[in-house]
Amino acid sequence: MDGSTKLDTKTKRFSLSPTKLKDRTAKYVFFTCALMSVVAVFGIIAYILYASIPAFQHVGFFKFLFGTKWDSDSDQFGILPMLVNTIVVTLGATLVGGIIGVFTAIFLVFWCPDKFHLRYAGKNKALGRMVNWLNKINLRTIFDQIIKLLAGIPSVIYGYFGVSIIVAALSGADPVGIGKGALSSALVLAIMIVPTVTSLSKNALEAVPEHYYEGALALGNTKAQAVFKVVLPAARSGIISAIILGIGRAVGETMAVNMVSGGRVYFPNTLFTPIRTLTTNIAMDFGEASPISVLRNALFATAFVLLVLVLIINLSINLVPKEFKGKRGKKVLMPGEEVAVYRKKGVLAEILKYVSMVMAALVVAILAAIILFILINGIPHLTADFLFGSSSYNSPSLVPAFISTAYTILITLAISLPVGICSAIFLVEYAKPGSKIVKVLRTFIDTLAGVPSIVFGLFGNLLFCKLFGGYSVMAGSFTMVLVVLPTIIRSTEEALIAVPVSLREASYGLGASKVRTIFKVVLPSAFPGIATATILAIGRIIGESAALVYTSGMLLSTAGAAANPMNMGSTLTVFLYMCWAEPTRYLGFDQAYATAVVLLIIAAVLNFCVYLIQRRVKKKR
Amino acid sequence: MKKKLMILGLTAVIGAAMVGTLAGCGGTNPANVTKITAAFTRPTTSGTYGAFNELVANSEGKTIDEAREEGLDFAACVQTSNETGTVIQDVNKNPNSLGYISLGAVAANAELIKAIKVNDVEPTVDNIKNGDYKLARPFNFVYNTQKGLSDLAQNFIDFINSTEGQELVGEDYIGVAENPVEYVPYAGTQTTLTLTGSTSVQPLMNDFIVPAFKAANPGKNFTINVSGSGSGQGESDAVDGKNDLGMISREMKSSYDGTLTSVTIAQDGIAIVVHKDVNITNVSFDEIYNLYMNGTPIDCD
Repeated sequence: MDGSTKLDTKTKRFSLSPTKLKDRTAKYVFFTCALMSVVAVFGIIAYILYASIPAFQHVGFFKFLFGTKWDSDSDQFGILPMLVNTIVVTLGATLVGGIIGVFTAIFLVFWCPDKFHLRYAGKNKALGRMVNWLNKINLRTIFDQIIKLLAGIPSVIYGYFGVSIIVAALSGADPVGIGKGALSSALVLAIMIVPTVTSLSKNALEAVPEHYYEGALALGNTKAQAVFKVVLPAARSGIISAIILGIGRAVGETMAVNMVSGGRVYFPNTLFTPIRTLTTNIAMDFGEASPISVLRNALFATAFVLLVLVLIINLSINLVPKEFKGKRGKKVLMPGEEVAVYRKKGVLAEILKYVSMVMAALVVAILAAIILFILINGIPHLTADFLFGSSSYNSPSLVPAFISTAYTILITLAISLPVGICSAIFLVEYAKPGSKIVKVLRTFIDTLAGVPSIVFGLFGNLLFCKLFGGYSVMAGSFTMVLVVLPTIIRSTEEALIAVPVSLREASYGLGASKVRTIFKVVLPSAFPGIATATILAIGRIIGESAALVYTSGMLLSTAGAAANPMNMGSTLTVFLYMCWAEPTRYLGFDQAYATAVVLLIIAAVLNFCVYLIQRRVKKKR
Repeated sequence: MKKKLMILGLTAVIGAAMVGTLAGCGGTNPANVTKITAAFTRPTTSGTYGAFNELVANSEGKTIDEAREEGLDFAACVQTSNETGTVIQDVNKNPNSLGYISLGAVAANAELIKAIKVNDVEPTVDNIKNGDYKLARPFNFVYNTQKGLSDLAQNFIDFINSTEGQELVGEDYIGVAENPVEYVPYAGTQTTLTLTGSTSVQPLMNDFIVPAFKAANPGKNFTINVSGSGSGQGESDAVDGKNDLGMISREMKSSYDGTLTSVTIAQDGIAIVVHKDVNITNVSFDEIYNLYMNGTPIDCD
């Protein structure tokens, strides 16, 4: 670093001790990392705006925004229908998915039983043993794993599931008999945002100090009242950020929605009108759009509007006060009547408790349905040859895709983990809580989280593909860094915040410097949270398709070619999408389902690894 | 007790979900469908869409393309499927619908869909060759005129136009080489060939040309990348030098004249497809036009 010489002179002038120098350097490193999100957001916005200007000039800005006709044959581009569809579908999905997610998190934290409590009095020994074994299962852990597994399922699989199950189930109610449209899109998206909302809401709920809950109980509240009237409001800020990330995922989702939306440029007049959202508008036309056409610029302009929409969402969320102010009682309690009123109020909380149980059951049922759907269709085609055979064009195997996926994960994490963790450290440990700089950084991180992955794809196609001389796994990985960075920062932040201040104070008390405290005390304590962040990031990388199709290519490669990350390569999910999009003799729907089974297994294995790590850390404590 | 009840409830819901999953696989019996009432189209920028629109005309000779230029839109029963595979799935899941895909993709998916006659002509390679089957479009390669063709790319095209290559193309597509000659294996040093662009051309490359090309050059260890993301992407990659050959499933846009050079490598039919068990064997251009533009149902046999 060229800054080191400057710092040296500074050392002489102010005669800083080496520890202080280290502290100061570390602070700047952390700050630089935190700034990366800002740079990324500005870079993306500036580029997309630059590419959309010709379209705004051709159509006129307001005509583009409020026009209702989109026709590339006659160069008429108006995106009002897409804008309305995106808002309607996202609202629907957030409403359904948000409610399911938050209630599931509540169930998971407060009511999920640790174990089955089965009793067996019969004489059958085998049955008795089975009951004993069942009673040993930790239900809470299993439920937690289910949520993580849902997060690890690629969006393309949700798209399949949507087309095959949700659309098929709704087709009876559709006058045209197909079942695609706004309703299907919203439902698929709702399912997709549940894991995001649940796991982050759960983190927020667990971060609420125990004495809030205990205090509420001590004041005579029932458990349900304590949870819904005290703990839930206290976790509001975390839950809102969970929902923001959920909205980000819903607004940005492309591939799954593209399969279930119907694709026409209509307003969502009925639940089954075929529609396009902003993202699917880009996906529908971008691949085939000629690079010097107005259409291409109009697609970038669509992406720009999408970015502005995301920005507006994030800014409006910032207006929500973060601190929860308790309500004061309206009048002094009198015996008799007032108690009755109090009890009446309590009923709602009791009902909500059951709602949370039903929602949790629903999540399990959805996961069970998705898994069954994939396994039934995929296992018959999962042959050893397809898994590990040498890949050639007339007997393709997954080996090249395995290699490309591994490279993508490794390269992406190698960059995004250090940057993400350092950003979170700056935000939590260095910046003053609530200061302007934190607010600005957070806004940018949230914005980055909301940037649709297809926009990352377009951005990566132009920047990283140019940088690395064409499509390559490397270019795809650099694109993925931007995609996963906000996930890592957000979850690491939550984990750091959850580390008790007393630990830090004790470390300072023992004479440790700030950097030492962070690396030796805070980070190890926050390890489970960071592990979760990593898993969410890996899940996102494995599940990503839109950002990779235009950066690392969609192709059937060979093991030799995939071994070099500077070559093109398709991750498992992109490979799966290719089988689905362009079914051929040797690679068709059967192979797509088989690949989906592999992806499910990988997700499950990864989750299990994290579970083991977390358990070990817990035992150490 | 409460917990037990809850677990019971959970199990019940899971069971219900399973039943629902299985029920979802059923649906209407395709053999009982009497009318085709819905249709699937492709994004307006797709090469398949372009050819379909320019060729399908009503009884007065007006093509869908002309109708759309007059400002008419597709009927409300028409939905857009983003990829060939989506059309296949959509048509298979909705026996009351039809769609159109590359003829080359029909044989590989015969378990799900079937191609039907158009204007009483069977969609076969021979009928396209002799001009009886009208729904056909070219497959082209494009390359950067300034950069020129690399010698491996030239050899690759030579292979397609050779006797062996034309035989392979002829399996599902239509060869365009006038006088195919014997292929001469590649003698140069280049090892990597990158093709990007149309997903419709990708199967021709992956299923037929690339494996045979590798087999025809046994001493060489080629890395041949065939990446699909759309015809327009094939053109833009050729402009930027990101590929050796861009694959496009339509004529090259005239705005590239001078920048890019295009070579026709094959012809592809566009098949009208329905669920494989639906009782319909023939549609006319007029019926297709009216279904897509006016939503008029087509009677099955």
